[in-house]
Amino acid sequence: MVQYISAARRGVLLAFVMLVSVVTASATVAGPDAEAFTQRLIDQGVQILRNTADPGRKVKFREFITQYADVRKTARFTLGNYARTAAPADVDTFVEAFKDYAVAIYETQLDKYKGESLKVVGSVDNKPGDYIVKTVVQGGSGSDAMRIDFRMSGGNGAYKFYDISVEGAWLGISQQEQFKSFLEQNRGSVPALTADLKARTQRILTGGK
Amino acid sequence: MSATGKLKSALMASVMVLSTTVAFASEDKAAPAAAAPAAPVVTTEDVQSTDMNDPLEGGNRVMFEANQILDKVLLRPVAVVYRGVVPDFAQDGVRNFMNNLNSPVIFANDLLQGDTDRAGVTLARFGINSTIGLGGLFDVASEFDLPYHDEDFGQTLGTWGLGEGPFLYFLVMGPTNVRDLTGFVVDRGLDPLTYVNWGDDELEYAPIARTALNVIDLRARNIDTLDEIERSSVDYYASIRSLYRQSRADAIRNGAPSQDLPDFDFGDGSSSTSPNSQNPPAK
Repeated sequence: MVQYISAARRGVLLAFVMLVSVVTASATVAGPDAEAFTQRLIDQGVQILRNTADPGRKVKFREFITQYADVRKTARFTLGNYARTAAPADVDTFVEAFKDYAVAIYETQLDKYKGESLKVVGSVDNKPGDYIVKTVVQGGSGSDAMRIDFRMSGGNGAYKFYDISVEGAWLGISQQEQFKSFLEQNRGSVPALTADLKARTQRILTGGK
Repeated sequence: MSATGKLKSALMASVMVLSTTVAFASEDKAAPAAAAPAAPVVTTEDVQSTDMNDPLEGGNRVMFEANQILDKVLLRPVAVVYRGVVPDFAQDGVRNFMNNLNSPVIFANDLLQGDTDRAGVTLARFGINSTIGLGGLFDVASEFDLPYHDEDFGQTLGTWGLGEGPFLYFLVMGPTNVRDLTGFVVDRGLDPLTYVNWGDDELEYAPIARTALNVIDLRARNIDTLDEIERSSVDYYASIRSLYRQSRADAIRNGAPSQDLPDFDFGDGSSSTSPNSQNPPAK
């Protein structure tokens, strides 16, 4: 009987060890996978922007972002609770405007680094299917590096990014705070925010104030 | 120097209208990329809560608007001239010199945070740059793999677990909070230069000149950055507040990733995330 219990215990222990190994293995495999994906993503984006002779590069960049950024997820997050309380049609219109806004911001940002190297230097598993991939913009000297992190969701060689941080400050979080403030001052009108976002996008594209 | 570092030194110098240099530092790229190994975990006051921690928002916004005017009529134009007239190497020299002057404060805060490794780096940098670096004008230490990092007493209080307290915005000083404001005052006490008697000859104005130069240098390095943030912000004040709070939390963690980033999914299936449905980008 004692032997029987002992064997059962060993069995449970073995199962536990196997489970831990599986979990550990998946955690260690996902990081490098997400990192390699992100590096290819950056290289591809920079390649599109570098080709300034291509008149269609803006369209290509938009398609690129649409494919690899989960803009809808980011857009809904930035709306906070309004994403659930506002009229679904208003939210959908907002998401479309946000897409243009995000593409304009990503383009402006990535465009600045197209002459420099943006290298993946590591990653953190935030939780299953959610990773922070860390990159560094390398300028002239070693001390002139800037940290840019990408928040990615996915797995098995297929990911989408949904937020970017520069020197530890996340864009999506900042946008949510701004939009919350705007909506509070505008009686929660998502259409008003959408209109403002469209105007803002134009300013980003034209470089005006 | 790092974008975050600049932000911190902006505080220490009691300078800078809109010192939030964190985001999108364009020409101001800089920053020791590597996070310190023993970075403290800060979760209690990370920025990701929906609470903006801004009970004095009305007053802060008034100050912010006043600052905007001051910036537009005085600080930004001066910074534009400074950037245009002073050669790049001289601007770097000014920045290096200012950083070196601040070394005792950084060293003290490294020690107060129990980070003897970084205290050693600060000490070695001070020794090397003050001598071979010609009084701090050249950052020779970086070439010896001793990169610059910044610390201040606001961060030290953060590592000790103290919350940030209400967000504050002051004319000229820019964004801060109760903890960082306290830290700023303590840092002045930790600075040996505070106790130097400059006499009443031309050196009398040295402390004022130091502050003024810090202000102009920092503003000059962030002209494009702040222009971009303003251009893309739906609410510029809220944007600066968010970036400041995030940047300070990041500085306290010494660049280590935040432990409690918000969940972007609302659990209502609204997200278009379908991890396995996409192809990876072409190699």
